[in-house]
Amino acid sequence: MTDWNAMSDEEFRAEIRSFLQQNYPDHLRYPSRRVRWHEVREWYLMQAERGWTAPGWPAEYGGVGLSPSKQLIFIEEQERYGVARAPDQGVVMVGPLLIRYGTEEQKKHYLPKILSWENIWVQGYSEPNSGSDLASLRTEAVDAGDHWVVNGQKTWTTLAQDGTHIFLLARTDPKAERKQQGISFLLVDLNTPGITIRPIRNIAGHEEFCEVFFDNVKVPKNDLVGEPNQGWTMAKALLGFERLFLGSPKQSQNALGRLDAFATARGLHDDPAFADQFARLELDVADLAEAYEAFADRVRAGEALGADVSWLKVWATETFDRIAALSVQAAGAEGGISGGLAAGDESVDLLSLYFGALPTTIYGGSNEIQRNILAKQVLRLPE
Amino acid sequence: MTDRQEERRMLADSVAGFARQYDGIARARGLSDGAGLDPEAWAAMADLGLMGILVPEEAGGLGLGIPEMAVVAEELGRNCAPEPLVAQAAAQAALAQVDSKPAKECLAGTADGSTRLALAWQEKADQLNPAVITSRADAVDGGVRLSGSKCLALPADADLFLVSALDNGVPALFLVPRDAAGLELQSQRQVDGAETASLNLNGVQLPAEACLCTGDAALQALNTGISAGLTLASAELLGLADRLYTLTTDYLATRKQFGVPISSFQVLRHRAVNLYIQRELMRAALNQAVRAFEQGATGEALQRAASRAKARAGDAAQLIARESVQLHGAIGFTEEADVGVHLRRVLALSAWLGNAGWHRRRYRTLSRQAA
Ligand SMILES: Cc1cc2nc3c(=O)[nH]c(=O)nc-3n(C[C@H](O)[C@H](O)[C@H](O)COP(=O)(O)OP(=O)(O)OC[C@H]3O[C@@H](n4cnc5c(N)ncnc54)[C@H](O)[C@@H]3O)c2cc1C
Repeated sequence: MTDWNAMSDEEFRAEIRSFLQQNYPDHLRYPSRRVRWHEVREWYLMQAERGWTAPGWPAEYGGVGLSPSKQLIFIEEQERYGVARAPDQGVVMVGPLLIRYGTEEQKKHYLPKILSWENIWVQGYSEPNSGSDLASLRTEAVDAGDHWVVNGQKTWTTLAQDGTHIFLLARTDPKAERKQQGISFLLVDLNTPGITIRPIRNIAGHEEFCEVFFDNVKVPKNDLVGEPNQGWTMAKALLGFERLFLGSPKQSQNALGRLDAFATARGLHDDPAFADQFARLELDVADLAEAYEAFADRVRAGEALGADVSWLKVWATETFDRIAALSVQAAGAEGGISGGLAAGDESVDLLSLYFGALPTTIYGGSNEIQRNILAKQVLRLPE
Repeated sequence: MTDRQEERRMLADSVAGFARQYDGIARARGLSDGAGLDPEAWAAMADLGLMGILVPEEAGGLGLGIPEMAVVAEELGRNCAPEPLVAQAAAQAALAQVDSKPAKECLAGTADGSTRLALAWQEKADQLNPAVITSRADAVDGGVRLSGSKCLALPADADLFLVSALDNGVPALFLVPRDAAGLELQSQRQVDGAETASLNLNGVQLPAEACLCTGDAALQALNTGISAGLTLASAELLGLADRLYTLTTDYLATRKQFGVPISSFQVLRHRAVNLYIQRELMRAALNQAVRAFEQGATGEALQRAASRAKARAGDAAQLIARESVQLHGAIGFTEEADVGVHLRRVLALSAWLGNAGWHRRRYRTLSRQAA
């Protein structure tokens, strides 16, 4: 077997890049919306055959065991090539959680099915009344001897209609002193009786997320991960260097590239007002990329990132948002036309950028919440 | 830490040590009050070697580069030091490109603090392209005669000016002593109290050796000096912005209204976070310019990196300065508060060698040419 970690970073990058160029389907590059599982299934099953579903997992669990620096390269190359995201919560959340806190039985049962995409996991955290204040969640799991009985509702669950399983934060001790203390982490088969999934159309008309209802749903006892009432702590401990990717410059770079193509074809760069706004954004993106690299260097050196990485998410998403807003302005009287707009030989879909940017400042911890975190933990301002 | 990082940290420490002994804010106030610069602090800076950083060892300097000078500039900014070290460093960086005896002698004088040097290349406030030159150098018996005008030369009290002029249509650089016959100097006061000079070159008589270099070499030296100046001004602005950020977050934490520290108000917390973000962006933009020097970038690549740093530094520092005044309330609008002293330095530095808008335009033009 190839020892990927023994390769130089450059060799490894070149390897991943050429693999994508030779194998990744063109029509799936830079999708203009979150893709459904049936659209990318073939590609990801092929990756599974090669043993590349979970490059970051240790090899003993079926991963590739890539070092942090190689994982970064792997992800950067996917982003660079515009590879459509898989419904990857199993790989990103459930796997690492089980590897760290799961029983042998849980690992043996669930990990292989994540690697083969037989199970597709979705994230059941948010509720209608618990968004930013997630710890106030009310979906409850009651001990009924050999199983838990779950009642409540989750919402904004990304692509739950494509999922086979959901991982839940549920209240198991309503009397706990602090609201964070009474929460457990449950693994639930979406085929269990009592579960109803209702897709929600997003602002752009796509069914990107769902409501998931739980009505007396029986969950086997051994599908609780770790200790009861430790769900909150475990979920937080999992937020490792993945937080860096919320601050990745790739979305903004791609958006700016598309705006540039449009503006060039339409002669907009000759308008000094537009040119100045564009230059401003170009510098915003360039400086974001520079700052991102400084954080990535810390990851490569094996450092754990602190709360300060939150500023990258704020800047990355707000920059993306400004690019999207300028794009619609750039389209002028056609700014309200959906689909692609002619730009030379190309067609550029500026509205998809606009709708793509909107939720980035909401999810992953809204930007207001990120500013709260920074003010408290980094600026250390007295409250 | 690598040796270079270690060296830079020691440099920052030694400037910080200097700053503990010599209060930069007091000197900056003195300058705006018309008391001029403090000669003792200037001499102490020279003793520390700060003026010789860009000067080659054989000319009595430390033979270091822009990365090290940027560390010094940032630290001086953090202390609101009013001395025009960065302006002189721009001229030194240009002069260091010239391999000639008069250039070496002049650099040696700047390193020990006995000579003050200023770049005098700009001819109109809105013409920032050093290749556009209208001043002329005409050969006369045993020398040259310069005619034309220059503006915004900093510091105004320089002993020597590094002046660009066309010699038979070819760009050339000249060292012009302030007492040269035919040189008329006028000064203009900056908002921080420093003076910049306008030079009227009314047939300034110079010996032939005053011409340091000509042609591409002259333009390249000038461009290197300006890129250095832009990068170092960005570093100094970062230091100033960092100090404003600290002053302001400290003030938020201690000032009480409604019975609580005002830092408990979310609006102010989020605005403080925005200042933090801008400061981090200034550092990112500065780092890439410093790296460009480290990697030996030249020509347009270097200009582009320098413009990028200055565009960010100018805008971000001004935003941080304005917000600092607002978040201090009325006290921030007083002469007594330190905020204002910093704000005036920020205004002067962010305009020097071109403001953010101008450098955004140049960055864009150079990027499109490169693509
Ligand atoms: C496209 C998309 C996909 C998502 N996918 C999933 C998923 O798969 N699984 C899942 O569990 N969740 C998912 N979410 C939900 C996401 O995590 C929440 O939207 C997010 O946590 C914010 O919660 P909320 O929407 O209830 O907004 P609220 O918390 O109600 O916030 C409303 C507004 O108030 C602000 N606000 C709230 N509290 C504060 C405060 N203390 N200080 C200042 N401002 C505050 C917020 O920033 C926001 O602007 C998704 C969301 C989106 C948009």
